[in-house]
Amino acid sequence: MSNEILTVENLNTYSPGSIEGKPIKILDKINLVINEEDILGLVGETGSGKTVLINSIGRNLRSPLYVDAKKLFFYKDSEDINLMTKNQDDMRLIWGRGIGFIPPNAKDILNPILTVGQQFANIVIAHSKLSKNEARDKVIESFRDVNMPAPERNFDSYPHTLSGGMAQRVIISIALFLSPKLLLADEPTMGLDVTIQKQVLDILYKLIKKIKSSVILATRDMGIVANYCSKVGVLCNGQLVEFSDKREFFNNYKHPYSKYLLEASFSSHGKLIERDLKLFKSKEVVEMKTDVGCRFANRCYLAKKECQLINPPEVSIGLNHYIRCHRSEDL
Amino acid sequence: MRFLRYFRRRIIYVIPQFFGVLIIIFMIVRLVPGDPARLMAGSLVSPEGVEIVRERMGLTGPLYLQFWKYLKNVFQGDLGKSWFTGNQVIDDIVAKLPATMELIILALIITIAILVPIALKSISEGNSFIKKLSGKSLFIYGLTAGCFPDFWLGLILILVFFAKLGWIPAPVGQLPIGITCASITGVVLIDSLLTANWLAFIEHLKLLILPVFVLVFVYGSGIMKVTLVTATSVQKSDFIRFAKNCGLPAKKVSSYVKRATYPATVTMTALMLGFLIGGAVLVENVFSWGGIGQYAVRAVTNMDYTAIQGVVLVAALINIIIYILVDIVYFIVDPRIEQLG
Amino acid sequence: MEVLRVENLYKLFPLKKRNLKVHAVSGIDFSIKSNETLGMVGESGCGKTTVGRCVVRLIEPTSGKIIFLGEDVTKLPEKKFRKFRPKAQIVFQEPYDALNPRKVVRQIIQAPLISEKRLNKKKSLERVVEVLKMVELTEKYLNKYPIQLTQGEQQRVGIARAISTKPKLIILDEPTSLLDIRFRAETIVLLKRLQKETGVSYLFISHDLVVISQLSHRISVMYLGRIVEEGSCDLVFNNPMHPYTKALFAATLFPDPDQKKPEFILKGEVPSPINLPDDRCNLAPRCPLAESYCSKGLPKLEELEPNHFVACFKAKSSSKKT
Repeated sequence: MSNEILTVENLNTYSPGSIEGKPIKILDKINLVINEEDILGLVGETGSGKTVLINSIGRNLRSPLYVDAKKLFFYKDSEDINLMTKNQDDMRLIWGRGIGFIPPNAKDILNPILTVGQQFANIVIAHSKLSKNEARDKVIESFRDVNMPAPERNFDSYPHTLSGGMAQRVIISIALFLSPKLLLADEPTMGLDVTIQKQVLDILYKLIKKIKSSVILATRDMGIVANYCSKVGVLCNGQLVEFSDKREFFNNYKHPYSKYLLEASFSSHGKLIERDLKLFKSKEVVEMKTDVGCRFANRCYLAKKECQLINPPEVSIGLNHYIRCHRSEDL
Repeated sequence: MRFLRYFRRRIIYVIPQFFGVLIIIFMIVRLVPGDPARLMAGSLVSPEGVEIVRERMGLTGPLYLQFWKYLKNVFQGDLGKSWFTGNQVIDDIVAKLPATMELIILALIITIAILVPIALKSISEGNSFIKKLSGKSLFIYGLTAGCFPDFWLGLILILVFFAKLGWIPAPVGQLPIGITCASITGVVLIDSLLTANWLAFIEHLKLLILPVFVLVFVYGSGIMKVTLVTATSVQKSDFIRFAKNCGLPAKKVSSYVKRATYPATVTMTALMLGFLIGGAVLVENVFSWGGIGQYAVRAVTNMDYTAIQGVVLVAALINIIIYILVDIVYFIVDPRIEQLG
Repeated sequence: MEVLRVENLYKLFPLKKRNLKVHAVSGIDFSIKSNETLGMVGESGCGKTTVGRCVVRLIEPTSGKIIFLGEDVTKLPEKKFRKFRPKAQIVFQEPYDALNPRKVVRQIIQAPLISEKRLNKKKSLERVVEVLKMVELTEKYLNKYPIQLTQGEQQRVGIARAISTKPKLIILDEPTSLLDIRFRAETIVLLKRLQKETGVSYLFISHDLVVISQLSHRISVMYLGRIVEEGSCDLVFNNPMHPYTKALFAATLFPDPDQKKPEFILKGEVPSPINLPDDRCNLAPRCPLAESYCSKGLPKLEELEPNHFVACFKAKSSSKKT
């Protein structure tokens, strides 16, 4: 389609080694498509692979993890970029303006030895022909855009003196200055107070709309997905089990894991439906990360034998809505 | 402004530090077994003569008075008289310290100018030949450096390069016998240049090679290793990764890595400096260098108390100054320090 | 029956520099009846955790009264306070950190039984098994180390330890905040069931409105060390009157794309609790509804409708009109 930004087909991310002779697959056969101005809410629990998926798409994996995909295409300025053929040096040219990152834990990812203003200014200078003073002005302007209090004073602040919310705002203002075509945001508001979270998300949303980026927003919070995203992707232990438009998802979700997540998030008008939650076994079972089977089978109340043994197929449910499940007819 | 606040507090600590050193030095002489006055005076002197010597050494009278007299002397620059050389200790030290500092500073300069960049290059991006070469050589160096005691290495090198190969002149000190150089600063390297004494300059350089090499080899390894390890871990850190993700060019990222590594290098250098002063003692003796190290050893073997006191005092003072300088450098280089101060 | 009553609780932490003090808790009053859950909600730095710890005297209050089961225990020396400890227990936020990593589950749960109730080994083991069953863990878990348990199981052990001494009150200090989604719901379900079975009271401290609403009968909203709104859960949820409560609700994201919420935004960030002024409303600088009279005095909690208390001049004058 003409306004596709990202095509991911059959993406698998591996960890070296093997279990019972089978390779360890952290991500299993991920397929997704991002269009212009999409905000995809990538939702899943801790350990479901959201960060790994984001880093796989952005070719930012730490060794020894490695990725393999049939198609990993990024479309920028009417150019098809096959990300699988790019090494780190090539990616350096794409990172920043093409693909941007908002990692969690802002204070840890800022350079502790430079002031936030200096490091931001370095980024500005690297991407433009501005002088030092012009870069400084640009940084202060960007700080204002994200409602940073006392922008001039905070230019000279070191990261360790900032609060979590302020540091996160610095990261967001950097990302928005770069105005990447594809923004990969990994739990951008983790650990922030709820009123600060709202401030930060509102600013992010407004500015994303202004620069017309497409976004993949990884989160554990269904509330963020419901209020800020346009598409939903549910990740269960490395498998993308449901993918659809947001409204379609909340009105018409189908996969048992999606049901589980919504229940566990008190989604029924803020009240818990215990009877529904009881359907899912809570006892912890060893999570398999090899090629075989559906990764929710251990906890799923609909699971049959084939679910454990055979990879679930992708089944289309409606327009732009698919799930990966063997039991799709019974849902 | 932050700096002044930090500095003021830092300087205040110097006073008790220095005081503590003085007390310890003061006690050394009085706690050592034997009678220092008798040793100073010699076995031929009568008991009355020994008493006179004892008084001159400041070992008579109540302890607090002795200490007060000692303090007064120190702050006037009077460190007593060496019975072995016959000179004022302070004059001896002033004459001999520059030669030692020459060795130490040259060793440090070479470590910082050569070893540290090699370490940084070996973990830089890319796959150049230089990178591979530096990596391998550092690996071997790292394995072996800790195995050689400095004096042993010095002796072996003298054996090989002087006795067997004749490439290095005889290790008789800062200059070969027969060649002299005017003494202005006390550092032959500088004095020979100042007096345009090219012969002395060249000969001195030849004699510098081995002792400086030994110091660099043995003591530089710690600095190099710390730099290597820190730089490696900084490279893997989240903020460097993010800097790359923001599209910063490789050169800039590598300057970030360096800047984040320097605090560790500086700390290790400071620590090593303390060891180097000790190392100079041994190396000077092997090479007959004629600096403070040799002086100190001679003082100890001859039980020259005042000289020992003087040398220890000066060494301690140098250490204190070095640590202050290091703290200042640290403050400039790592802004998180103010929190700990 | 009133299990806990706290009167005019203050906690100030002195700072090293000059005469600065952190005003963590400034004049809190509340009470909890038996079989009741009071939810204490607020963001980081509001003092709710400090309140929880003062109640069980893990931290000593600066001033105020703590009346537990009818007795004033504020200043009791440790020897006399010991007999109250089994009756008031606490469950912490970090499930793993709260358990001794070198002891097995059995020892962890036995510890308070042996030290506080002085049960002998046999009786305490029976109680441990009984309590494990109550939190839906089998005897298989007796000899496991905390590291071998999932987060949810670790938190259940913490809860089991708390109920082992048959307390009348349990302080729950953000028991689900650090848990993964799947464990959050089951922990809430468990806590609900335990209250039904044993009649224990809870002081439920959390920053998450949704979680708090699952269990609480009454809610206190805290800001900068003071309670700004308090009332029955339904009343506060359906009709939040204090601007801060309104802001909290407006910022809470429910998993419902169609939820209509009025926008209510506070400017800026939470100010520092160092040397807080007590002659004006602490929210005024950030409050979109602030009037001039808001900086002229400290608003006190007043009953603006039955069983619904609010500390806000503006809300008071608005409610007078209706």
